[in-house]
Amino acid sequence: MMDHQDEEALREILISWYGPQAEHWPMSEFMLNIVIAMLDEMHNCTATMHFVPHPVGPGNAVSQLAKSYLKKFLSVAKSNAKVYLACARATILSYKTQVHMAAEGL
Amino acid sequence: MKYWIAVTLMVMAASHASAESCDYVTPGTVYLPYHKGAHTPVYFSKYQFNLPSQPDVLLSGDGFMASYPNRDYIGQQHVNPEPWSDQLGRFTSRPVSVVDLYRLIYGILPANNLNAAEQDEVQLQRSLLKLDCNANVTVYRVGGTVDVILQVRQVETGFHTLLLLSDEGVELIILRRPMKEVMQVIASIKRRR
Repeated sequence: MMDHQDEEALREILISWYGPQAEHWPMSEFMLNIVIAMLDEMHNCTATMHFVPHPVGPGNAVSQLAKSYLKKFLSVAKSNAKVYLACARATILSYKTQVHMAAEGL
Repeated sequence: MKYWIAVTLMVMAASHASAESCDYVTPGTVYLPYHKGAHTPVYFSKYQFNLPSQPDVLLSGDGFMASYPNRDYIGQQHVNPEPWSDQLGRFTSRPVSVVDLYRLIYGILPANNLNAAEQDEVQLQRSLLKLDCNANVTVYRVGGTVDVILQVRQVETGFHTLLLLSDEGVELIILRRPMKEVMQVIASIKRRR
């Protein structure tokens, strides 16, 4: 479901959070689902994301987002990546192992 | 009609008050005897623990990671204090280290002597880490010496958090494993000589 533009937006978010090592990570739908779960946990950090459609309920978050909404979602998340980092560093560290595992395809 | 509006408003006010009063409660301490695990020991900073079962893959990066089937894992990382300066700068009444910030968030240090802005910051961090009256947090004193904070997360979030807080820094262990193995890891944590 992700195109190249989506992958690059996702990559930029992960570089902001985890540093240059994320430049070479493969961007998969599983990785996108982890980032969406993280953004959901960090929603108190900024009101900006409140106006963007979010996946609802459990399951595959990506499949719940229409293509156009996914672009908007990633665009706003990318613009606010550093805001999330300054606000929710502890949360971002909590997901580090899971993100690394996804980057290794595990 | 006015009656139902009044009732509705009262119910809304009550539920709002209830939501606001759902504060995080400082956890009690549970004493746990040290128990050496059966599998590979992992050394990090001045501590060690044993893996509770044989992993499929071991990875090294900023820390240690063990991969298990079904996307389960155990990951350890030393929390580097340098990038935290912006967040710690929000504490203006007194200097706060990363270790102290975690202690404040998890209620090991009292937050009631902080100013209003600092208390708001602690409250924000608690909300981000799902620390409210429903949080499942316990402090384990392992072998009478090492204090480990365990936060059991809701099933859907899928991982548990272990924190080792000392004057040397913050060690973070994230586990996505059955509770039995989480407890085996905790019981096998000890300080190395």
